[in-house]
Amino acid sequence: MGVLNSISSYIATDIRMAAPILLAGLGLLLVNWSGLLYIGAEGTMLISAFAAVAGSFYLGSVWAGLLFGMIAGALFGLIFAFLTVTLRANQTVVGVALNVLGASLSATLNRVIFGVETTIAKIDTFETMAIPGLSKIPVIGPAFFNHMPIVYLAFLMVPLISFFLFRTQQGLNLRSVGENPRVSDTLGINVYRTRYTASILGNMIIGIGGAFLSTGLLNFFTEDMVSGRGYIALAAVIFGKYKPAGVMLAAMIFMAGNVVSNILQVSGAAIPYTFLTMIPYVLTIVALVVFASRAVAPNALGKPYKRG
Amino acid sequence: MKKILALVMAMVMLLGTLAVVGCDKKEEEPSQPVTNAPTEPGGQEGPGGKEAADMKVVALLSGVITDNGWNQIAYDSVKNLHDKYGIELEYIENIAVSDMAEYIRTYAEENYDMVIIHGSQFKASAEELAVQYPDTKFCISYGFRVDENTADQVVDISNLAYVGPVNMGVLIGAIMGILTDNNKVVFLGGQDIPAITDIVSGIEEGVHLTNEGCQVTTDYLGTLTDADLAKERALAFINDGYDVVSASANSAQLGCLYAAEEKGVYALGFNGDQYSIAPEAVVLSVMRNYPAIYEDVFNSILDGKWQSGMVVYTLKDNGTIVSDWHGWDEKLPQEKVDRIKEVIEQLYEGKLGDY
Repeated sequence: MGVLNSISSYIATDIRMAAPILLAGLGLLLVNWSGLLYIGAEGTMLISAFAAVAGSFYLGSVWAGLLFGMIAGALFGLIFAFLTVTLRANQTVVGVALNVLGASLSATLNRVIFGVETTIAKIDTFETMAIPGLSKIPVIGPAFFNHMPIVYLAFLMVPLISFFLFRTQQGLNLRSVGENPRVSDTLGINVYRTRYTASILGNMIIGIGGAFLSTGLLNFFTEDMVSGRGYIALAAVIFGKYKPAGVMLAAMIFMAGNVVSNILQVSGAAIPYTFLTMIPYVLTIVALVVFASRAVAPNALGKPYKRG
Repeated sequence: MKKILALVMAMVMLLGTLAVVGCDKKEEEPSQPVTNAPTEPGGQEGPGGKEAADMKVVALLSGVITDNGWNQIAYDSVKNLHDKYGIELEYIENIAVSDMAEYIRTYAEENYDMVIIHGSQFKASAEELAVQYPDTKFCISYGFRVDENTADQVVDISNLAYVGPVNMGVLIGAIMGILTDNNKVVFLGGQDIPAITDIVSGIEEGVHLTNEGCQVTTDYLGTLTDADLAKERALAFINDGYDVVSASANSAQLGCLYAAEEKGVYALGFNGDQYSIAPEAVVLSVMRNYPAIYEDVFNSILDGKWQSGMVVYTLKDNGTIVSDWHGWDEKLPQEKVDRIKEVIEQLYEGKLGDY
């Protein structure tokens, strides 16, 4: 029973830790399918993580915090769309700039609002919400059905976004803009509007990931707390071959690497910690090699489009 | 098309620069009258006949001042001097090892009196440049590893001091040994760097001072910023029966404290008073007393009593301090409180060994 309980808690850890990356990956998916190459997810997550803490602090509700985080994400999406769609700036350069902006702006605002102190402000955070009935199942219950609401939301979004992208007219429009904007335009799809919408909505979802990190998994904001999750999400999208289920798998495999590191370190195995730190990355590379086939990126990804 | 692109790129760069500048809240240096009169022999004032408030001090940091750890404590040190003596508050964040020499040179050329170079990784730059600027006093935080070869790592330069508190790990370990009920305690370092290994290496010794049979695990997280990863690592240890957690990993260590609170086990804060992060878990915080240490060094420059070489502050020298109990002395079993108080006192008095 002890072993089963451990397994159950390891699965729960994996799911919990994968949620922010999954959300960021799903958001990126929407942006990418519209033909925009966005590498600024790290910046979006950071600004949203901060905005969520600020919102929760000022309004006393973690849901208000989440809303703040989403608004911050939407703003980043708007800036990105304005610069790359309207002004047709280089998408990679703007993405990099937004990473820097997100990191610096969140740090600056954090210092302005909360000061340079070792104490932290008390904020409202997400609580775990056991699903009645299902959470009582031994082993499986605590592993899958005893999480915070955002975790359920993240995994629920996998089929939803999948359905949207591949089964609805709007999804088809979005993808056709990403594949061939010229043709889509001639067929009456508003390319600019589609890309703006995708960028804003996508960044809102990325923002949920950032907000969940600071107000769900933790209860504070610290500078650079996203620690590369935004970049891992980028990899997860390619790894997952631009499919929501694939992104989910990638996020979970990556975080399983961290779980393995935890197990090894606790077991007292005499492995240098630097090797443990590598495990998630090694695991990702191995999985990529094993499951590799050509990732089908949207055809017009990264290419600016000019009407007329 | 190209014009627009150029314009946009310029805008983006401007935005980025603004953000970075905003990040670096360095105060403008007012043009002050030059007071570099030749030193009068036997004068009571500092170098160049300076008042305390005219001393020019800068802290050169490897990270950000809000890292809840190593760099924040250096910021606190110069802030303390600023508040007490009215010196200009001057610090630079996020300096890469490759850039440090340039920063040191800049401030030395500006005739700064005291340059704090915060971290052993900058040792080579500090040693190289200290020789070239004999009028400036350089302090490198640590710059040595505390082991049998410590003395060999220090270069004898008359205006360079290797400054740091030592044996904090012993103090932390001793308290952990008393707190534990399961006889299993864990201390997690962020990375294997001198400022952290110095603590990690003392933990086991400290625990066994107070709890002979206690199982002690020390390991590294591999991150200084990823609090969520640190939290999950700490949770894994707690699920394995460890009931006292402490960590030294800047911001990431907050995750460990949070994990302890979630699982209802004890934690010790480090580097700052971290009670507020997890009030249900953090019994005490142990802090490097760099503000007092650098104030001491600052005064030694003023009084002409500057010491170069290794300037270590042991527990006896007040190099490490312990936070307030924040009510935990009521919540904990009385015998533990008494024992902790007793051990802290004994360590400070040097009764348990030369720490």
